[in-house]
Amino acid sequence: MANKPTSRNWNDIQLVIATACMAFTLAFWNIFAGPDREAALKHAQEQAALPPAQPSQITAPVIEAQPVPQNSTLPTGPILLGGNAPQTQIIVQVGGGGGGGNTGGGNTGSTTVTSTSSS
Amino acid sequence: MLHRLPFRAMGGEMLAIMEQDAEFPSIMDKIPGWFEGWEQTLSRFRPASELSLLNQTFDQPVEVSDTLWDVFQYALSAETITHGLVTPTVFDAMLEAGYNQSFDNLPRYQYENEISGFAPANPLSMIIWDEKSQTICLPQGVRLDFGGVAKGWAAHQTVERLKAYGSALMNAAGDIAISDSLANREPWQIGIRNPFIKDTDFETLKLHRCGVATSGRDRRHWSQNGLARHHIINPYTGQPAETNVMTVTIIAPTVMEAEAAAKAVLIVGSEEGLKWIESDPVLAGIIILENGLTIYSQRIHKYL
Repeated sequence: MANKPTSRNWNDIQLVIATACMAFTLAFWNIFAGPDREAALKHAQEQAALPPAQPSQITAPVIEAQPVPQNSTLPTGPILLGGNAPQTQIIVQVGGGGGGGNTGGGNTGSTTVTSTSSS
Repeated sequence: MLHRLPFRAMGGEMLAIMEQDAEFPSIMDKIPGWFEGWEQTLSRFRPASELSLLNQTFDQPVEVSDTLWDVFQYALSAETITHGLVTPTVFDAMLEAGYNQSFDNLPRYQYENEISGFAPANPLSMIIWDEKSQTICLPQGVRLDFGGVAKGWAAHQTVERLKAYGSALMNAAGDIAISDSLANREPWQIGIRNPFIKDTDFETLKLHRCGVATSGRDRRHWSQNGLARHHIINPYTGQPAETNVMTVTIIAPTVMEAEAAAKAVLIVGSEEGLKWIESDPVLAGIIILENGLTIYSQRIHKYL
């Protein structure tokens, strides 16, 4: 008795279809997103060149609920692949009581002779 | 002009600075030798050190050297002023937490340790000592680790020896002793390291004769069977302190007081720690929390 045909051929077809779908998706993505890439990169460079905001002195941590803006500020246009992921920025804040001195994350050690740190 | 001598000792980076118009003071060449001698007496990581030999002798009085006796007395003071939070009897708790060798050689990820369970550290009052004969008698199972007290003591001793030759500063791995103001009466400017950004200071202190020390869990930490560990032991639990504080910097009349206070504040956490700093008129401090928030004590503004 002849063996029943295996389902291997159908699996191969599925694989080919999936591969083709992915290839078409990437191709169309690059076709439509490509023209805006230069403008987006230029915009990102301009943003990066702006001076970072100075950490403000606060006397106590205050958390306030912010109203949801009417006009969404989410970026519009195509989502581009590549580029740098957003980086977490740690800001050392100033608490109450001290009042003054150098603050923020920068190196203030230009005139210091040495530093104290955990041993 | 300022003469600087960096060297390595006690498992950390050391820096001695002296102000003198003449050429490099010859007395500074002796400093590494002093530290070597103190380390040979006080290190728990050296099997032949005087402390290691003492830690192997139980229930009989052992006559100890002037150095070990002096540090032991400062350890007693530290335990008293911190209500038992800073004590050298955390030796076995350190081993239990996996800190069983010099930190330079300590594996940062430990998986095969047999943990028998943490137990509160024994109080120093269990130890019998005699001032007249300069002897210490450890009860069975009690061993000593002077840790930061020894570093602070060494920094203090160094500037005491140097001050006859000029204004001096000794930084013993973060524990800093200052003998006097600079010659023009100006203060020494000392940075406080930012625990979140490597090799960066976030604040500058202007200090005259005093001690300053920082205690933290940002450097000496490791993983034991998947659990985060660090080297500041809470003697009441026998485990690494569970705290919201990342680092504490304290200014005090002496570096030994500063070191003990900083460790105590880290153990009890920011709220109780700040109250404690404010309650003692000779202390000032800066507490950095693990979320980046920084708390300044009221008296710290005198030093900024």
